Amino acid sequence: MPRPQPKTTISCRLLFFRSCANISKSSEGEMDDSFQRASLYPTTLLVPGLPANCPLLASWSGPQRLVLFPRPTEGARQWAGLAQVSWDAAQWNSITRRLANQSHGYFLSLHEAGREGEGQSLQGSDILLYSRYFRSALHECVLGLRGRGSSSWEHERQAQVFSTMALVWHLVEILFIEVLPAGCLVKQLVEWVTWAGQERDKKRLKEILGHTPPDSHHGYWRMVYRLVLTGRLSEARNLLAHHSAFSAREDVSHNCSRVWTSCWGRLRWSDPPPPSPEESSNGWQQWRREVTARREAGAFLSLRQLQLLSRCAFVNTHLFPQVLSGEEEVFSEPEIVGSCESWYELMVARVLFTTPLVMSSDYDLVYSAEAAMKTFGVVSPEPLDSLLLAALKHSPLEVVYGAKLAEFLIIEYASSLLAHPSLWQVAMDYLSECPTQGRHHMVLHLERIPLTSARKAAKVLQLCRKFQLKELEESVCRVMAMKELRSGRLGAAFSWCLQSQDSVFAAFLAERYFTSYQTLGEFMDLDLLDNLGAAMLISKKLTFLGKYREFHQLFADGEFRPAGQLLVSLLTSGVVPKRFWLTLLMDSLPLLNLKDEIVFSSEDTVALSHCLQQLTSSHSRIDQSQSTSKSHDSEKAPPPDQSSKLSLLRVALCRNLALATLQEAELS
Amino acid sequence: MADGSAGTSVAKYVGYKISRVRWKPQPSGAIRPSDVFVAGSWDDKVNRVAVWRYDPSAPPSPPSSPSAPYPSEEGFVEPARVCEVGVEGDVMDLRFVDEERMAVGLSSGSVALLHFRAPQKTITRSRQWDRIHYITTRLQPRPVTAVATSGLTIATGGEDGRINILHPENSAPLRTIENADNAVVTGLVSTMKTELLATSSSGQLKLWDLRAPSVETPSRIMVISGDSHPLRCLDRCPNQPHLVAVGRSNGTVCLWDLRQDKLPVSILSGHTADIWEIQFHRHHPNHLFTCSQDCTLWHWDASPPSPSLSSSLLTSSRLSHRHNPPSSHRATDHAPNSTPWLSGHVKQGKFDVTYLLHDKLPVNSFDVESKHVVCGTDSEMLFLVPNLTFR
Repeated sequence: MPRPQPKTTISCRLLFFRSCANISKSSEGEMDDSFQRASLYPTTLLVPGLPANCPLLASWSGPQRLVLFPRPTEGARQWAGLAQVSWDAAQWNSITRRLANQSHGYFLSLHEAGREGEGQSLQGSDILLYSRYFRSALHECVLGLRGRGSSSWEHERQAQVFSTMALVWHLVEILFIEVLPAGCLVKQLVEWVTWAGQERDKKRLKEILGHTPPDSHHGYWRMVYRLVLTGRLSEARNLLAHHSAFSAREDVSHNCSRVWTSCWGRLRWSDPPPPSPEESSNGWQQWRREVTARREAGAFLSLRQLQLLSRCAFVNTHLFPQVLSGEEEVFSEPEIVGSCESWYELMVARVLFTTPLVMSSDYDLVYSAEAAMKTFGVVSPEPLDSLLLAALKHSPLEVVYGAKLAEFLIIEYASSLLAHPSLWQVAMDYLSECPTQGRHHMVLHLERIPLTSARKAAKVLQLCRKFQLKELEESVCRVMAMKELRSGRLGAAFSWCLQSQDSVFAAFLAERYFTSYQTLGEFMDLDLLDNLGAAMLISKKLTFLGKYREFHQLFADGEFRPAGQLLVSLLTSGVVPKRFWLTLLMDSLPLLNLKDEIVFSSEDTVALSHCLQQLTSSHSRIDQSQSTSKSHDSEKAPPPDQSSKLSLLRVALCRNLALATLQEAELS
Repeated sequence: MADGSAGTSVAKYVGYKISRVRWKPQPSGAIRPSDVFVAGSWDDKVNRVAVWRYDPSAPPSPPSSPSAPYPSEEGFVEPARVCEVGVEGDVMDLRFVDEERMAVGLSSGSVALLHFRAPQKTITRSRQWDRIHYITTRLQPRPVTAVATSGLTIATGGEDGRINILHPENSAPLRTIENADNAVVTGLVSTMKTELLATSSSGQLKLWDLRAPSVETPSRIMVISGDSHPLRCLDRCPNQPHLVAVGRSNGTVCLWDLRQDKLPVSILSGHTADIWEIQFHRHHPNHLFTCSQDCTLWHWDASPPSPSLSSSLLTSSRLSHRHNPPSSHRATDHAPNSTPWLSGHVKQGKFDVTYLLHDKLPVNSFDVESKHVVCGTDSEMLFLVPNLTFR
């Protein structure tokens, strides 16, 4: 946690999409909301009610909360309160929460699949499947954020973030997750660059075709280039056929199409994948020779003439054959560069036409990427550019899969989930998959979850049990038990204590029960005490309480002998605290004074007398020490009326001892 | 994921954790099952009760791919939201009082009476009993935990150990049992208008007789001896009212026969964590449903085995399907004085259990109406499992 820094204003540098600042002043207990949009730059928040120029200190009080207080010496005179600044996790709205929950499902499923494999590494096909699920969830989320017409500024920004994520993820999937044979990678790369813009391209194509004539549309040739560069040849051919010059002379158009078809027909870069790289490479070379030969034979000449006729002056028609035969300079021609929307589109076009058999580990990819960036004029790469380039360079392989960073990223993500009050269950599952730091973070966060109801506490408890956080389980139960205890509900406190088998707290409650019995003369929560069962063994004091209750039941049922035996064993076993002895001894009085039955044997009577003796001697010791120094707790000394009780007991014990001895002598 | 005993389930993401779902009751005499249900949320900044419409009789949809974690939405009839209303605090329990009004127990200690008007498609609050569950003063409210209805009478239980009896026409509780429980009342079921069964977090099942002019102590207390696991929920068998099924925090189901001793007849284990809701099927009482913190929704079938079935098949029936054809031997199903739940078969574990759902986060609530189950989870989803089959 950052150290509090003295500042006159608190500038909250809110990260990424944390944007709403919600200020509440706890000193007055009322919410004063003011929303302020924060960007990646420091934002100044004016805390209402604070005197100007009051020097402040701040301390973190939660993942998204700061407590402000005046600097002790200077500020105290001006203002002596506390203010709480908290901000919302605006990134979690109903649309993005869906993404959080969906990806949580995929995350767990993938980990479960990994565990089922028992030591074997996860099947690539499994990872690929969930990777695709995840991308479709991202896509759905972007659509959701942009949909419904009322897309806010915040939603649009989130949509951009998520579509960028989808873009990067898709590339990573192609390069690292899918293992593609030569010739297939390029196809996936093409899909990658065209996927995001598909809808837009379709719309534009429709617009161009709707224009009469289509080639007079200012984007006509740009579109043709785009289609060719991304390998959508049939669409390109179709668009060319709509050129007014072509449609005027059908035979030429037909001829032109045929040339195109035969050229492209020779190139097999699609399904099914070529049987071997060599064969594939041969095919490619063959196709290249074919195109060169046709160009030399003047097959494209007619095309050029036709285009000249149409006076599309700005189009360099000679580009086409050049592109097709893989002359690299063409990728720096302004028209070609201009038809691409990003450097990575240009890169993929370049790869498609120059090295279509590229493998994900080939350096050709990086070379093409760097060349494309240079051509595209990317001087200072944005984070996205660097990310994509890093992925192409295969550096994420070392970085992301390094366990430490992966764990760091998961914890970061879980923390962002925890910023929202209701996503803690999702976050815990993520943390549970972090072997080194996960448990530590789980405990820190779980113990800060407000336990607003018993049911919520039960849910937190279940998580503790699931992840074997024994200490936290006890602490949750103790928090709930204390809450009940403060409300004077001993029974409810007791049921929490039983749930965590907390012996210390059980001992404490057992004493409370006994004390209340001593004062009230009857037991509280009898239904609970009578049904303790094995729970009695949690604590010695609880055992005593349960057994003592059993004694009462036996006595009430007229089972005097077993009741007496129980009482003696309680007093001699040492489980009873000394301050309760007198109460127990007094309970023996009615048993001692029974007219027609001798409950205690001489041995038992001696044991009881021994207890009585110990009690009186300790009392007299206290009396002596009290006379010298009066600092002792007066509760431990017997009140005046107790001395009469003691003498009553003494008499009864003597009488019983005499009777019991006589009876035993008779029997033997 | 749906299994063999039901149609393909439909998942609908709603954007908040769901604590309670309930089908709206049909007017008496209606033939079609209800197609409207309500869902209440919990643990959110603003919680709500939303009304949804789902008509499973719409054209059949293609089965989803078995490997998909959630059934795809394409081609499925999705539930559609009709209207919603915000409430203060978590929705803890919800029960319909009549065809339009429902009583909602809230974590703020209040009970709201919500009125859904189908023609206008609106849901409004028609009454609220403010902070009727509290410790010492109303400044310390405690969550309502359970709501039960019987006719127009509403009973609510809370973390304060109180039971309140309410009536829609009265702004004050008709009656309050001050210390109904020394721990937390976790579930309530009312029967015959005069009896109330309550489960407690201290592991007790209490029977209250409301005919007595002043109720201070329960007429019966039933326990599991030497075991204090909290009870979480309960339901009473519709045709054998002396049979009560209780779900516990350790995932077991206890069956009590109220005519007998205070100990349960049998304890069935299955779930691995708290059972949050339990329900007998209203028309097929041999079928029991449970949902749990362990992220599953189960369908328990205790229908007596048909004589044609070999006994070897039965011994291994737990968590498996009996792939027998629909049998016509259902002699004991509706026999007046017997239920398979109290028979030796169930005690020996001879019943079928099938998963209706296995989600990633806890399943908090469900409701079975006719052949359709709706359920709500902490993964912010509504699941609809249509077309259950009953032998």
